[in-house]
Amino acid sequence: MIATPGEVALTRVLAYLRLGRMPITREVMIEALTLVQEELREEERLQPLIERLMVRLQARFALPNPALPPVCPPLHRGSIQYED
Amino acid sequence: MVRRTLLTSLVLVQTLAGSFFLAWVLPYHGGNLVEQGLILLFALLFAWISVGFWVGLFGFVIRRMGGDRHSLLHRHGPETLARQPLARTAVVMPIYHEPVERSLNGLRATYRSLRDTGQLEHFDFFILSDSRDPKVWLAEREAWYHLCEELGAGGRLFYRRRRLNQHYKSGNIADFLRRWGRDYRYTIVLDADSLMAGDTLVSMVRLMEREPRVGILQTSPTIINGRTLFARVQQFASQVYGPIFTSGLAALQLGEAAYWGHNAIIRNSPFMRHCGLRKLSGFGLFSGPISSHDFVEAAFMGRAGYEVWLEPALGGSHEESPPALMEELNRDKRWAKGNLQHLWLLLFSPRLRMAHRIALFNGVMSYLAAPLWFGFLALTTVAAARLFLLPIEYFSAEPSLFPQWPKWNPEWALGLAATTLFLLFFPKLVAAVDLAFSRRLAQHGGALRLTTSILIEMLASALLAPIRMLAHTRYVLEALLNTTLRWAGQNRSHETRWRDAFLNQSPGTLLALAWAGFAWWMDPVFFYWTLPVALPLILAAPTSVLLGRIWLGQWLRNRGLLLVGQELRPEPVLRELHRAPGFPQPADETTAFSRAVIDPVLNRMHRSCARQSHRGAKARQVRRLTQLCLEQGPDSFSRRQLSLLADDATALQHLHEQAWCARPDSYWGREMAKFQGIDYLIEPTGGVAQ
Repeated sequence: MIATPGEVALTRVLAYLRLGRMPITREVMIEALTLVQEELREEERLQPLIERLMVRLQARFALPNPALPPVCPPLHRGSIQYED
Repeated sequence: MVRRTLLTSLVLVQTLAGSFFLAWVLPYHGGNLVEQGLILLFALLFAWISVGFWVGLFGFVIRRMGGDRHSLLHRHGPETLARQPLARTAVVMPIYHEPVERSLNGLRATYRSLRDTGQLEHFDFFILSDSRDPKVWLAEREAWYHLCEELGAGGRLFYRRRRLNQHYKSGNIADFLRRWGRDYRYTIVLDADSLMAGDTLVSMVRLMEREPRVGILQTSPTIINGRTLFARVQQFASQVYGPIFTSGLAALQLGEAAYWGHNAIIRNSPFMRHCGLRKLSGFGLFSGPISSHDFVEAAFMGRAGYEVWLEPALGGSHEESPPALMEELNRDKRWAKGNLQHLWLLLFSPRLRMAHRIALFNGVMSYLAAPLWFGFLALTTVAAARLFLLPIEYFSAEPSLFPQWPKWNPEWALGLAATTLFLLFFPKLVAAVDLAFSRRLAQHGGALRLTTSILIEMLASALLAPIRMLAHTRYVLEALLNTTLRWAGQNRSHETRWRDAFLNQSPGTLLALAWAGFAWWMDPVFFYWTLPVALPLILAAPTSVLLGRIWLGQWLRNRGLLLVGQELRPEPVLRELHRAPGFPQPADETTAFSRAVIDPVLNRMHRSCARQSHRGAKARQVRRLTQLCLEQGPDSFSRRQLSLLADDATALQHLHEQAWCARPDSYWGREMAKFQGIDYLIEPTGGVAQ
């Protein structure tokens, strides 16, 4: 079955949002469809379409961006000593 | 002092008696060099097993008397300990290419168990990775992140990876101490397969607070989670025989015990001040970094005036066994080299306590006993060949008027062999009696099943001992010659494969066949004497495979054999481990690197841990690799190239942005499809086929 550029683009947008930990609600789906629709009006070819979408995606959706845990505590240097 | 003098006297008397007996058994009664060599080797080996025998009996007596009144736990009652405030403690888990999920599941269970005690605020956790393969360390970091999210442990659970992993595990711990050691009074060291109960961690800190002269406190970990027959045999032995041996050892060593490198707590300040490990300054094996650090650190701590205690009564301390013989032997290869290096320290390190020198010697003997046994068998064969094949020596080198009639007394030899077997196996029966007195028979399926399990364990031990002996002999030779003798490939699957087992064991099997054949040709009676060693070597491959089988272990378990208490009534920390939810399952066939590139959250997390960007020639190389990675994917990259990309925040960000814009028929487009669960194909017309 042949997937249209619009389908590919929509799947990519939704995948990004899902991996970005955004709950895919009805509103989010409508917003994603609207975004793809807007971009499809401007660009029909797949590659430029995806590129444009990925740029606009960040501004259009407020991804959760969970706070990252500190990987290490602040350094407090000491030394290891040798006796012989 | 009294205990050690008593032990030494018993071992010496027993060894002397055994050696004199052997001299009578031998045809020339020690009248030639071969027989003298035999007696010497026998004395060393007999003393070695005699120590084990008496340590076991000591332990039994101590346990029957209600425990050692000198032990740390006896000094401080539960109420006193409960009132003792805690001090800041780091719990560190050094890992090196370990199965990520297993290691961090154990850490998660330990964390939760500690949280249940209400004392979590005093502890921080560190995963200290030495992994070199970016696919592994990216997966470790990802699992750490998920664990932080799941436990709400951000700011309490940390992940540190050394880019240069010098000096093995001890270097990893030293690196931690240099960076953060001053922030904590204590460090509890775990192994990748360790599991510790929160109560135990808390008790360890409290004991250390009560006893400021203690530098290291070692728990006695029991083996858990055995699934293969091999692991279940080890687990059974650890839980049934372990208590009397560790109790005996602790009672004899007191404040001069050994440190086993994990499931122990160390006092940071003296450890940092006195336990730095210099490279060895000798030749060959005795040069370069020390591979096995723990015994040496205990000895250095003792030299600095601090005590090192083994406290077997502290429960809630566990580890796992290698699943199969080949994995155990691979581990032993490293340990053999490390322990033999201790010879140098034992002889040339100044001011070590005698008890710690003996502990180092004990470690050396753990592996040196194998070539000694091998040498004993070789000399036995030479002595037999001389007796059967060469003319009889009626007159020795010393002048004598009377001829010397060689007299071989096989019935006496049987008596000596029976005595040796008694020393080896009697403590196991004593351990069973201890179980009966402790009313713990039911934990092992009752008296009948326990007896059957002990017989199975003894059979497995008897089959494994010659195989281990030959392998350890090889490792000792390799270490002493500072070389690697090629043998066969390693088994990397979970269960031992027949091909690997035959390849690995064939030299031993051939040697045993030749030896037994020679014995048969020479004298059938001598042939029968070779069988206890030759037969297990001939059967080494099937033994290795069968012991490595999970179904066989489970089959016995279902029949109530080789059962341990933890299986019938697991303690809370074990239940925690078993009900671990696991880590988020990544999309099928995705690698940790793909996830680091594609997943927006993981990409951001990895970037925050990576270098901000490389400079100069390395930056140019990173740019070139990034481009190549975008065009072709990372499959052809070396470990170093992949590390460069995965450890560069700019590269990771660029890859992430570009991968999401990739055409569906490109490498990254296909990777993306794995996350989406949809595969797209480009049609020649420009459409996309799904």
